[in-house]
Amino acid sequence: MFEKLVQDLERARAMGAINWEAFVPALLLVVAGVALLYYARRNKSAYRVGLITCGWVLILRAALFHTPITWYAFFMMYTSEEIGFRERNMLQANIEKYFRRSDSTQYLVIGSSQSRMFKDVATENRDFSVYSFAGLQPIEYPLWVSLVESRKPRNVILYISEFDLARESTPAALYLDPLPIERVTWLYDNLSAQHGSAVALATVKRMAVGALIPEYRFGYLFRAQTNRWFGSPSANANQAPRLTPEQWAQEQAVGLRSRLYDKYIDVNASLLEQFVADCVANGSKVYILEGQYHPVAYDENLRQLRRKSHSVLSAMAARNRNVEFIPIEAQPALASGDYVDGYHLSPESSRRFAMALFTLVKGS
Amino acid sequence: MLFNSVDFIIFFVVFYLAYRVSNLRWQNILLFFAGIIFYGYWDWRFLSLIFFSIASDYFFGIKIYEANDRRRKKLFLIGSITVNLSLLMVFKYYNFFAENLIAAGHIFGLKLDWFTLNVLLPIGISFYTFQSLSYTIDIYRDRMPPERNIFTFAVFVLFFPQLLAGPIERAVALLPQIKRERHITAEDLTLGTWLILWGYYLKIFMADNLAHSADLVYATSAHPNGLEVVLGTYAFAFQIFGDFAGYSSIAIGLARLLGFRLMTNFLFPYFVTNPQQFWHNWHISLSTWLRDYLYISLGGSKNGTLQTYRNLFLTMFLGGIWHGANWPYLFWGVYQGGILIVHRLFTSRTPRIGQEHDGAPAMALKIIFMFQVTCLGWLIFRATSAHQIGSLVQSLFTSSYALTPLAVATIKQLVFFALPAMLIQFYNWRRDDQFAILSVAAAPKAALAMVLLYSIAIWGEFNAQQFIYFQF
Repeated sequence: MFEKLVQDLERARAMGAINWEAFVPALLLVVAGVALLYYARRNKSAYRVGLITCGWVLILRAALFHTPITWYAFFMMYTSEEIGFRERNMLQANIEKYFRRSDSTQYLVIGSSQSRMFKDVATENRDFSVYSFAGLQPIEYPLWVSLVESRKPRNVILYISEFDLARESTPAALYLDPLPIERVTWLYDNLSAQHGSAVALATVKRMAVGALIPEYRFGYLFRAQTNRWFGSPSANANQAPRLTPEQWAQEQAVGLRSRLYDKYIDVNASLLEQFVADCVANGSKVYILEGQYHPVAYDENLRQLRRKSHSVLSAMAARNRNVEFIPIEAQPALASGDYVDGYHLSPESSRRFAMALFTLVKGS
Repeated sequence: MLFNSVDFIIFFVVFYLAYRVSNLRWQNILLFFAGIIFYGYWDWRFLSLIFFSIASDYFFGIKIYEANDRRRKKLFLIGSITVNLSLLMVFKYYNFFAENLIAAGHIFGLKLDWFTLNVLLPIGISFYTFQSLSYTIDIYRDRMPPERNIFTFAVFVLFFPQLLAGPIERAVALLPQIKRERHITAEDLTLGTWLILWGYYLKIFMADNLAHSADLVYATSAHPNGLEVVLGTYAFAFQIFGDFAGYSSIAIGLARLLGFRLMTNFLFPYFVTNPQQFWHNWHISLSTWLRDYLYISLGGSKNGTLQTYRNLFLTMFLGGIWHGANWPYLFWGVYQGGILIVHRLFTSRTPRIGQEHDGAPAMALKIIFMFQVTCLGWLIFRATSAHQIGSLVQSLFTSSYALTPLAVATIKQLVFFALPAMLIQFYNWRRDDQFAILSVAAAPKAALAMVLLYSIAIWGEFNAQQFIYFQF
């Protein structure tokens, strides 16, 4: 445990200088909390308890949700299985915002768990940042525009395929995302078009509550603790046998075939294009790397979806200035043995493949 | 609209800001429209039902009062009761009776061609019809004059804090508050806020989380062992208490913020030693309603022992049916009537049992015993069918009491989700004051408020789970 801590401190040092701006919310909360407590000491009215409660809540909120130490503690305490893959990715992103990796970010990768393969590239290049959020959907990319605005990267790298575009969006996962005020109506309109106004309104409301009350948004951290205490009888009952990578890939391939549909490609592509336009407007060049997954999954239907997403993405690149599309054919070939499951590469293959893609991007 | 929804919180904040800057006339206008929005938000079509109820009871109230002789008064009262009970019969009970008659017909080889109604149960119908009924009955009993202003009467029926699930407030207590100037004090604001916070804690933290444990045991596909049935039923006992007492607490707290005083609906119901006390402390607004308008009308305890038992039984039987049209509620009513009669029998023959001056150990034993008796009632109440009641009771007596993973998880959940609330209840109960906890110093009080707030925010289920009593 101690060794791991030392290692992580070293890694934190390697991440660059501390980003003091990220501490401003904590500072404001503490100042407001202390001011309320100070005022409560002098106030003898019936509202005194309310003032003290609010003061403490603000200070506790600053301590729990606005310091890298607590985010790191949460990150160490829970596994992805306990809190969810996306949730753990959020913790990582929250830790990283307290560090300024370099004065200017050259490359920023944002995407789903497949983008995690770029982690090694980021470790070796301080001007390379990776934000990998498990299951990130096209509708969510424009919600993360603040990353591009704050880091101002010269290049944004997206790893996208029909794997992302041909899937129906699931609004339930959105509550973890930030909700930029200027995107509220945009989000509502797009969710309404896909899922109806009731789902759209419920999702936006849930996100707004999460934005206002971090205790609610990050409640999964505390619920994971109670789940540990209580045990989960239903989980015990449904323990699946361990699968080999091949079996796992086969199973996920079956899932893919039943989840990807042609009808979602255009709508998802237009959502993604919103983000691409945001990046370009921010002065970044966007590289769209055509993604791929385990060869075992491809059947005729998926090949057809691939052709469609390929043409949609290349058209997007052609339409937008400063956007480049790098198709699979231009990338190094991947074989079944490179994968640990249906979508993710083994650590060695991840490193080799991501380095090759990075070289490709730098050279283009 | 549900109290535990974001929509309600936004609605109430906007409403309250307007309410605070208004005079009495405008406050009542706001209350009227707030009631309409609050109820119509669920399904605006059923507003017509409430308006019909308002119009008919307003009319009957005046007619009862103005009738010259007792016979005519009675006739109008019967009219009011018939209209109100007809609404209940059509929307709440018709399908139950029709389906059971068809089933009974099958047994005797008869093919009955009754149709069933494909309508939703109007939310809160049992509450507002009982509230309206108390108004006409009180006028008949010369306890109050009728309200001449139909708008004021509508505000009384549509008073949104308690419209959907009570407390079933009496017109004699609420109508005068609607008509007089309201002065909202600092005490109203602090007590109101505390009641709302406590209510949300009971509902969102305790009830909604324990619902999962209870649901696992009461799922129709489950085959729980004896211990799991016991623990699942305990979970349900605290769930239903948290759900309903939570709703009442929020309702009373909201009313307090508006300058109204509503009756207490729950007073330490799990710290009682006998069934009679239980009904003095559980859903007080319904039990006193049943006592005043049904038990006493039937003759109460004035006509000898047997008549008293019959009246008790009938009152509790109808109280059970009030909860809804299904067999478990009916059996629950029978059970409650039964245990009240047994308690009366024992206390009349062995008066020592009725004495309340026991030492702490004896008192504790009685409370624990009574809790088991109450829980047996909850088992009947929570079951989905008569068949499930049978199989769960069979599990209680014949199945093993092995400590399974589900049992262990349920014990931990009971400790985490129910024990803190029960400790606060215990503290207040020992001091015989439901607000005793508020007399501690400011710092511990603030710490308690913070714990409640964090518990709600972190472990709260915010997918706006309905309150159990909405279905009644």
